[in-house]
Amino acid sequence: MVETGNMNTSRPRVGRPQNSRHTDFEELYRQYSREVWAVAYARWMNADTATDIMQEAFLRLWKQWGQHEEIRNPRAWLMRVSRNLAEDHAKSAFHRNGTQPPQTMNGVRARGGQPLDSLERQETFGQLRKILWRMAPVDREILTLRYALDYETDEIAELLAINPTAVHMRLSRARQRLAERLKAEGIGQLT
Amino acid sequence: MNFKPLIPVEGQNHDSSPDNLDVLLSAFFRSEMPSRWPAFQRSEQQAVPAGRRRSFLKRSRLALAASLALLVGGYWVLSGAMPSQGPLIRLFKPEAKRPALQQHNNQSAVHDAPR
Repeated sequence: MVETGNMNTSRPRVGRPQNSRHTDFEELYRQYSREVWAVAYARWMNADTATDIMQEAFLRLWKQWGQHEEIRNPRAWLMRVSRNLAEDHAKSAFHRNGTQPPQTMNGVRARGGQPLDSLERQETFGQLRKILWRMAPVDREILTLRYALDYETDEIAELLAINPTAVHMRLSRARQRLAERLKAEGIGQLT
Repeated sequence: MNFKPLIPVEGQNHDSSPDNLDVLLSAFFRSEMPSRWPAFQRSEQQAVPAGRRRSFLKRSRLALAASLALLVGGYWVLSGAMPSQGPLIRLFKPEAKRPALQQHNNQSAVHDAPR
């Protein structure tokens, strides 16, 4: 169940033209869709699932707008909804009964490049994905925001509504834990 | 950039220096992100287009009309093919109904008579 908490208000958007509403929404999507994706991705380590969750979160936002309900902080609202949707995904019938995507099964995903290099690269990424999956969700989230979105400490702190010092500490610990696991499994050596 | 997946070998010095880790993680997460960022899909965009909806309605109405025509035609053909003195048909003839109806009317008359 998605909680919207007290971020909603029932103030109608009086006199707001339809075109302006569309433009505002497009702007919100442009600004926050990657963050929403990153949060969902960090939970499941699956790009397609993350994209589905992102679309669903924005669709719900669009419907809220259609009901003329103003959301004071759309970014916080989207973060909350995407986290809830990501948790709900665990309970969904497809997740329980469906098959695993190929990249989860063997870490190999068809993309461009030289076949051997690409294969080695995808194999490394597959192993890295497995290691990340075994890490704590908070570690995955902070690493995703840092490396997928290239966010600095301050930006992550603002998004997660925590202290920059706490972000720095979490990031440092997550990196340390990951480095230890990578070292133990011999992954990530550059040639 | 090339990453070499290694099977752990005892005594081997693995390079997981901060720089290398940054490069590895950046490359990994970037590869995971959709190469072409998907556009937002509104529910009305996913709805069936009006033209397709109209043709679907037209086809379903045609199917209904054809079914009705078949039913009526089938009834006529079958009623023509059946012998007219069949037991079922006799049941529905006015003569067959009359005694029962009369009996019922008589009973009603007895019950409704003023005392």
